[in-house]
Amino acid sequence: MRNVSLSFKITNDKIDNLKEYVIRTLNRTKAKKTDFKATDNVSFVIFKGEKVGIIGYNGAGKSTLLKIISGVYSPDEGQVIINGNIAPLLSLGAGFDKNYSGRENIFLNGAILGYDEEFLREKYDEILEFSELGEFINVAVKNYSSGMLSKLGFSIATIVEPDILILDEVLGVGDINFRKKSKEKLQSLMASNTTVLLVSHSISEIRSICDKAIWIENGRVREIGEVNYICDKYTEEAKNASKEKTKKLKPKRF
Amino acid sequence: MTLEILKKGSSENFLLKQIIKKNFTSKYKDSVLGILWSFFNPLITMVLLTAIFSTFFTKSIENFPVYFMAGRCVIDFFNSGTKIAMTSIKRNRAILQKIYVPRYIFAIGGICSEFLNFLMSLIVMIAIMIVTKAPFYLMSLLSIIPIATLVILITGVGLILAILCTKFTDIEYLYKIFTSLLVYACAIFYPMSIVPQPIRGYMELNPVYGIIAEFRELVMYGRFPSLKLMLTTFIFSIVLFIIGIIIFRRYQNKITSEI
Repeated sequence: MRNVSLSFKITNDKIDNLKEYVIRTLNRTKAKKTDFKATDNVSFVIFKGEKVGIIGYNGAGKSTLLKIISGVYSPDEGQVIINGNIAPLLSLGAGFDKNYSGRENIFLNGAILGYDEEFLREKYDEILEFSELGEFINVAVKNYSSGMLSKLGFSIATIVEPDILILDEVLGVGDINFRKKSKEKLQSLMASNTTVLLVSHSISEIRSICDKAIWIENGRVREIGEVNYICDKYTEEAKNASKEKTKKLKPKRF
Repeated sequence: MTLEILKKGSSENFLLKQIIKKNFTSKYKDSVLGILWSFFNPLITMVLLTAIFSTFFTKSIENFPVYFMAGRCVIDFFNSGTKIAMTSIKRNRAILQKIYVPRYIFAIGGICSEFLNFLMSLIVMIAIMIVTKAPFYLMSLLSIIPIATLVILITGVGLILAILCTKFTDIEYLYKIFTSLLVYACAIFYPMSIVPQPIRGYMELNPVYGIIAEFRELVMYGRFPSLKLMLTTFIFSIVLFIIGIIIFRRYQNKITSEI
């Protein structure tokens, strides 16, 4: 019924950068806006169950793309068509209230993530158990260690069984044990039927998880194809690029 | 399909509840008296202003404490409600930039929690009415009309300000000045009759004052306010409400990339 295919097309997504925004505020629209196209005329189709890796250099627009897909940004032109429910694991524990206990934050954060009350009540024990917080769940989160916070955030975010999973870098949080556990949890989420969109700088990770890759460069799609083919090309070019850079640096040394 | 929408609606309601709860708890965190401050705060100002002004206006205002409280409840709700809606997007940008939530939800949640505060201040007003042996009228129940008008007005103004505030930071400071002036312009602690005529005519155009005047008529005297006043404030509020929704809908998609 849902998640048969998802396709989207974005044209000329302009995003004013912060500097421009400040200048414009000070001068009251005197300054001309210059458009920065974070993503430019990107279009691709991802089918149900596909695991897609998105690669590209820093600032290429990978994260922007994920934010557009998850609905945080809306494109200026073009449209995103999605069938199925999305779980964007872009940030853990967004909107945690530091004065709230862990328990209250489960409900607050869950509500922000779009879960309903019934679902959270049902899954509460599961979240608590997975987070390994035990008695600390009744303590205000301002007293939590950063590890505990991310464990809790991870446990809340991954409680759903999404049709589409969006990841910005595979999340490894907490100590060694929890890291292993969270990897396993993610792998179970990535089970056969789930569509996965993963942004990562770790090529080996992309190779092992994904079966398709999209190479983004300067906000445009450079190439789409089979994962190993794209990754080979990408690493090749990255190598050449870094060689050139070191070449340029060499004359400085005597 | 309908099930999906229903499900979405219920999770949005849940989020709204959580936001209201959060606003409430964060307001009173670390305070010993907690929610009681909502009662004390207006009470203390009322006592002070009554001590100062009530002898001034004994002729024109028969029950100064109630007169003051009725005005103060309304103006407080207007000021705090529009302020919380104004800053709602900026304050929650960390969330809005990471997860998709309906943009209006923080503004509406803020107005709802301020509405609850307003209801609590009404309890104070009723308590004062009992203490000062003010008469109660059945007609007073109709004050639901000015209150509804007020909520509509606040939502409209709040939504407009929320968008403006993401564009220009200065709006926040400007609005602060505006609200403190508004308190003086709304005849909270003096009767409108002391204002000389040409100015008074303009001041009476102010919809917030209009709502206060309606509210006082209904609560203090049990009289139905003039239809002309009711209509003008209502139309003004509805117009601002519609403008607010149009502006918000138009710009809401842009704001996440601008804040």
